[in-house]
Amino acid sequence: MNRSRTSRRGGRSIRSYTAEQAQPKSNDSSSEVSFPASGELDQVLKRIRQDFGDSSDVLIRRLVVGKETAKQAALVYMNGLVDHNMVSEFVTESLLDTVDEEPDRNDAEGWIQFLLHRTITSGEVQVITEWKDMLLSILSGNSVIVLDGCEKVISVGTQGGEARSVSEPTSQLVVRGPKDSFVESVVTNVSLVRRRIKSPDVRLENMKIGNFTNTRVSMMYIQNIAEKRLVDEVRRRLQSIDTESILESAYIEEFIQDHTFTPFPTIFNSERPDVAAGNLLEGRIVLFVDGTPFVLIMPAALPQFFHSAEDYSQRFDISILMRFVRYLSFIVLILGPAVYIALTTFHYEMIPTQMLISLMAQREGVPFPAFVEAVLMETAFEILREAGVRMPRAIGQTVSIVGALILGQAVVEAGIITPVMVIVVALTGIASFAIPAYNLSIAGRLIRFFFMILAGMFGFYGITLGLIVLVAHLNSLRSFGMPYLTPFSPFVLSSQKDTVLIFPFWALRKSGSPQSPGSPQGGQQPGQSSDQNSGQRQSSRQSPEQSSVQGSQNSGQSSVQYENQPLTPTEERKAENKLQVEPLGSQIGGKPGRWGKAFHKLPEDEDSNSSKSSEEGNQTS
Amino acid sequence: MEKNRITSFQLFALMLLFQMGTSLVVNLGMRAGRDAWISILLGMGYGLLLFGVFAFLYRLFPGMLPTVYTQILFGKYLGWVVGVVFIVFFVYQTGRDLRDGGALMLSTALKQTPLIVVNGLMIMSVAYVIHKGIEVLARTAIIFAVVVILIGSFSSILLILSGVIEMERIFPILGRGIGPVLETFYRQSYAFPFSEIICFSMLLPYLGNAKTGVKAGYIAILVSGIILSYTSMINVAVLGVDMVQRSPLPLMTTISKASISDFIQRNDILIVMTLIIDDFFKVGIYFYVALIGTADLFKIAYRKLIYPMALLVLLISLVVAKSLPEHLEEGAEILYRIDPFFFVVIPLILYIAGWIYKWRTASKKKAASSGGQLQSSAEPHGAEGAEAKQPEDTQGSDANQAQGTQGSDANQAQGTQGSDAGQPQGAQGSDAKQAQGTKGSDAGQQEDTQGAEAEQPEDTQDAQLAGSKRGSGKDQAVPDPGSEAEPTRGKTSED
Amino acid sequence: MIRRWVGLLMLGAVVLLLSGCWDSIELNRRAVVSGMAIDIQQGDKPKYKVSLQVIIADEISGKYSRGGAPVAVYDGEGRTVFEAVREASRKVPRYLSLGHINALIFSEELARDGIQDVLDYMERDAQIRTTSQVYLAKGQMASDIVKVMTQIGKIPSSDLAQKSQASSRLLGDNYRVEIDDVIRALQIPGGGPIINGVKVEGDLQTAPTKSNIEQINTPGILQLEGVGIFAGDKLVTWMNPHQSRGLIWISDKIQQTAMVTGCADAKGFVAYEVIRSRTQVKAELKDPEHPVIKISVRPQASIKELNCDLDVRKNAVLDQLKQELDKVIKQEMQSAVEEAKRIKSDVFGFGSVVERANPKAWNSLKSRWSDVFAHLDVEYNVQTVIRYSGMRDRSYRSQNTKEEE
Repeated sequence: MNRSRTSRRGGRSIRSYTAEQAQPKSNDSSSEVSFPASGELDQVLKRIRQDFGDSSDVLIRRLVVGKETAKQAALVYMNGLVDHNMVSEFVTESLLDTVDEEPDRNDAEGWIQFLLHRTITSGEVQVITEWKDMLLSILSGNSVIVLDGCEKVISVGTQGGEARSVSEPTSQLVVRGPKDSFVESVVTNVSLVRRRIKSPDVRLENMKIGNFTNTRVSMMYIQNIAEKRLVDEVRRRLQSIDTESILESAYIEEFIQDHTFTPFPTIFNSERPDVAAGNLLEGRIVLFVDGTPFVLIMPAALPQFFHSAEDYSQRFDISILMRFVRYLSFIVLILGPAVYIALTTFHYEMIPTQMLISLMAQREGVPFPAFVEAVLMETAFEILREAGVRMPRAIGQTVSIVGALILGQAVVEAGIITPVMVIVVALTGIASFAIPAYNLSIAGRLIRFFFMILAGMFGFYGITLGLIVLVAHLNSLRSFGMPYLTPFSPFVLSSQKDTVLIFPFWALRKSGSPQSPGSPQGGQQPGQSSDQNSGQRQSSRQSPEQSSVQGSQNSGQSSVQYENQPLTPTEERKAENKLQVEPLGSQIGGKPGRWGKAFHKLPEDEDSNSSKSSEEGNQTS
Repeated sequence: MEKNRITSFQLFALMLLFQMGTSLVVNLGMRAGRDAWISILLGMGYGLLLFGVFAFLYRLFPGMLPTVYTQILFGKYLGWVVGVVFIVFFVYQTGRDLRDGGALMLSTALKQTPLIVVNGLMIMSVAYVIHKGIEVLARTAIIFAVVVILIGSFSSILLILSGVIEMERIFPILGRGIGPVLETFYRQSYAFPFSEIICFSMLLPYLGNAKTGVKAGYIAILVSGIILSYTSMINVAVLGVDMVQRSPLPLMTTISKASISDFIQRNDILIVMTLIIDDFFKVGIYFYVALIGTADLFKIAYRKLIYPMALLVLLISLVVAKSLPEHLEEGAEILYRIDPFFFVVIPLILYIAGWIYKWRTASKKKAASSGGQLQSSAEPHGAEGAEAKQPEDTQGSDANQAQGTQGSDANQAQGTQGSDAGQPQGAQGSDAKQAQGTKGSDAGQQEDTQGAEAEQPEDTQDAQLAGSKRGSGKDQAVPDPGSEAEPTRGKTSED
Repeated sequence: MIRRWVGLLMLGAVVLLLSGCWDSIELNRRAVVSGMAIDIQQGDKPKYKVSLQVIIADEISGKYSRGGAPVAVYDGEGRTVFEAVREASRKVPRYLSLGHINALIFSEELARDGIQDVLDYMERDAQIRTTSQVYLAKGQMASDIVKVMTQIGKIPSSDLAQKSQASSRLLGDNYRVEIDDVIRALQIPGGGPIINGVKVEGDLQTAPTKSNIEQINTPGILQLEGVGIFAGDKLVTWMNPHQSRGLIWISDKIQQTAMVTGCADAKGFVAYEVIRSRTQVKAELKDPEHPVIKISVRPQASIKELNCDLDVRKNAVLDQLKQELDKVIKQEMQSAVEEAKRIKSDVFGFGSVVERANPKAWNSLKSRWSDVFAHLDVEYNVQTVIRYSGMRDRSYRSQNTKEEE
């Protein structure tokens, strides 16, 4: 993968040089309002070929349109990016069918109108005036019709070419639930989501990010549910990205996320359309990036990473158990080896005597202290895991058996590692897989080394202090203004229905859902859960009015409600507790472009957030 | 002051953890023997009283730090001196509590580790968390308050199930008469740990919601008092009076007696963890309070002070005593001789001064309103006044106030003290606005001494604004013209 | 620029914390002690001899067991217990860790001499659990007790601890005495602790050797034997089983026990199992100088053996049996109290009962409590309830006599 990292950070890379060299050309050509005055078709085509460096991809089909005028035209498209059938049937054929017709006026404008309105049968057409845009259009898989003597060209949407078809997701699997997943094409992905939410309030905004790659990025949200400031902020951040290439949604994630100095992810990603749809209904924003099936969902707080789509397709009491197990496994992941080290080296008296004896017996003859053992085994496990990722499927199974079982066994037999250590490491490894979100489990794997060191030096004291510092660190994180530990930390009681505990669906509905056009007043449909879930939604329950209201991301709306009614003390408390999604840029005096570089979030942003939030909240008190 | 807000629940959690801080460790009220739990309850009563005093002062001067209103009540110089004395006291207490925590670890689990390392680790963690701001500390407090309560309940259940509790050991109640109880009370219980909530008076201005916040404070004192009293009772019930009286850390011994079927044994590590958590928050809160006090009095950005103050506290914790008994003895001495000054005398004086102030300004208010002045433009008595003088301050926060949200001290959009000023890049956004704000207020402030200003109903927003802006102005390291330095409540509109 | 230096400096300071770990000790560097035995060596300079029973983990569950003994005993001498323990470390290749001590054994000689010098170390050290049980070696050296190989359970101290636990539960002759029980009892004015006695029954010579466990018939067995009562910190005498059970009745620590009485009018014996019991001790101070102690016991029993021809379906018969049982229990308690009175030691804690009833009176009685105790009036009130009779009501004898008739 090519990541022009240095250019992103302001350093110089070869790429930046070549990019600069590439720039002047297009700049030049775009500075003239593109076309040579004579509009000679040949010249235009020649220039096109030149710009593409005589690439064999570029196909140019010359035609003649019009019965009497016999205007010269050419169809330019990129082999492999277009659907050839579409090109031949809808474009070429329709153009050639003009044999019997004539435009009203025999000038450029007339011809364009003629072709546009009377001839071309394709759905997506656009008139392009900028040279740069034309090139971009060709590169996007459109076919461009160039007319002789015309300063504008028509771009016809003919995207096609080989793409992966919608199949099962590779990560985030469920037993029961939809099995389609996103693919690499934004258009398809958007359609998958649209199919689930048939409401006109679903908005889509496109932009192209990446100076070189011009990757198409689409932002989707639901109009009356997502908070306006959040949308503005996301848009602002996206527009401020200034980089050469975007190859995966992770690049964008890194650019627009709030904090860089933390292992914890603040933006959720998913491969599943039902997850994306569910999040949209809660007021989140989904970002589609061309070229990757992983969409970004923001803002994301920590509990969200523990939700899996399965939670909503099973009974709620089972799901509660599963959620507990996931939280527990995260704790095991970070603290497992650390607690083992602390217990055996510092606090042996806590171990029951029988177990102590067997532990001691195991340690006889083992050369390494517990801490070194732990580090060694954990590292070995990481290596195994890395290797397992890259295994070709054929021998993947064998290697995992070899690695895990036999290696573990051999190492114990050789007397290098105690069996208990192998158990602990294995448990930790398994626990890391129990966490639904991969990016969070990576964070956990990193953190556990930190805890191991603390435990190795200070025992439980170190672990306790480490826990406090970790929790404080988590508390200081914000995802687009939303505190990271919502709803634990600003404690929103109503959201507890869907964090660790899950209430059945009929209990999750909110009173006073916001009205949205086209829905019955005060719709009391079987509600959906509150802010934190990322679950799937059955298609029968898709209505925006069922989103959660109380202040999580919808403070805009809820404050509308609150303002009009006198506040009871509980509401007042809720109002002050409610989570605000605070767009950050506006507070800082709106420096665009800042987000495009690696940055560190200023503490003042945090303060300004909270002040704004509390002001909002106390507006009505 | 920062713009950060603490919710009432967070205040509750902070106070709860704080009170339990070092008190669970030591022998509370053991002079009273079996009846220690009674003297703890009495001490709780005093704590409620003390908190009431500071709540009153807080309502009187909303949005102002105690260092600020001390200067108002006592006059500029004397008030400043009193403030400094308090700050020194807080710093000393931070050091002592740090030492307590470190000594606890050293005597139970980490015997060989040097004290500086243990203390250093804790103070660095505290500094890190404080660096993130009070809001983070408060939010973390909620989570850990729940954790601590859970562990406590678990241990209680464990003790009950192990059958080691024998309630007869608590009887006879008041067997030796009320004398020992009262003696313990005036020697120890009223001060430790309940009076230490005076440091929360520095945190009250950060409350989001005044009424529920103060209520939460009372409840916190009640709950922590009950918990401590209960713990003391359990200690006696399990171990017997004599043993408890001779132990510096009776809770440890109590818990280690709880064992079920040879599997769950020696749970004192759980207790140690709980105590570390409590001590962390106690140190954290004292540290923070000392920081903002210093920042306010000396007009330095508090973020810059974190690291130096941390080192200072570390040093104090090492130097304060050579050994644990000496440490405890010194603590007892200080408790007896010096603390009354802080815990009784000063609050009393403040309270009286507050009353005088209130009475005085109330009468002035009557005078002014009877004089029939209209307050359309220049004389704000209420919300409108805020609007009138808003033009130069274009902060969103002020705009909110202009909408007439009075009374709730939530309008402490008194803006950004210190926190922003701490940033070298700090002239952006809120800071810039603050600077404007301060200048505005500065222009408006007069050289005012106590009681000489015209109608100043104490809880108008002007007071808040003025106080806050002045406060914030003080904390800005750079852009402050330094023109204002007087602790006035001058109305900004009185130009 | 200066920020960078400051940052580096701060980092440097933090690195200081990483310079080592002082307290971590690997498990295989520890010698975990499971039992401690203290003897006293008289002389002009009395010395304590401490024997430490160290667990050898390998032998118990490891792969490298060489077939040796599961524990090893190391001893040391010193003027105080702590000094003796440290002396012992000269023989032990590992770091002595006292955190898992199950059993603490004093020799009788030491107990008669006074145990208060020995106990301070036990309660002061953070590692030693105050829940360890205390025993007295009756008529033998304490170090002999820790050297016995046991059949069930490889660690002798656990064996001992479990024995006392089982017997206190089933037999009611003793109860678990832990270190802090002893210390608390030491502070009873005019009273003293009670400690279980233990001895090696059988062949003392073979007990430490492996041949002890190689036969079905164990030559040397650890056995709980009697209860020693103290006056102050000195052992005075031993109670026999009846008296010690009486003691347990009074202190409300009976869990289950077996009682045998005669069959009212008929010949033969009835055996009962006491299922549970509750004792209440109250003090009545009509005359502040002469308190009267009232003990009321409410046991519940079930008939386990009926070796006579009684028809226990009838209430009248049950009543008679009940009276017998009450009598026996009362006798046991009385004998216990008499014994305690004889040695003038309030091992039952009647003092605190008096204190609870009338603190003022107690204040004046406190100083001469042991004398007052010696002449104390004690009233007993036993109300047994016989609940069950097992799977049968009448004995098969009744059939026989019927037939004979």
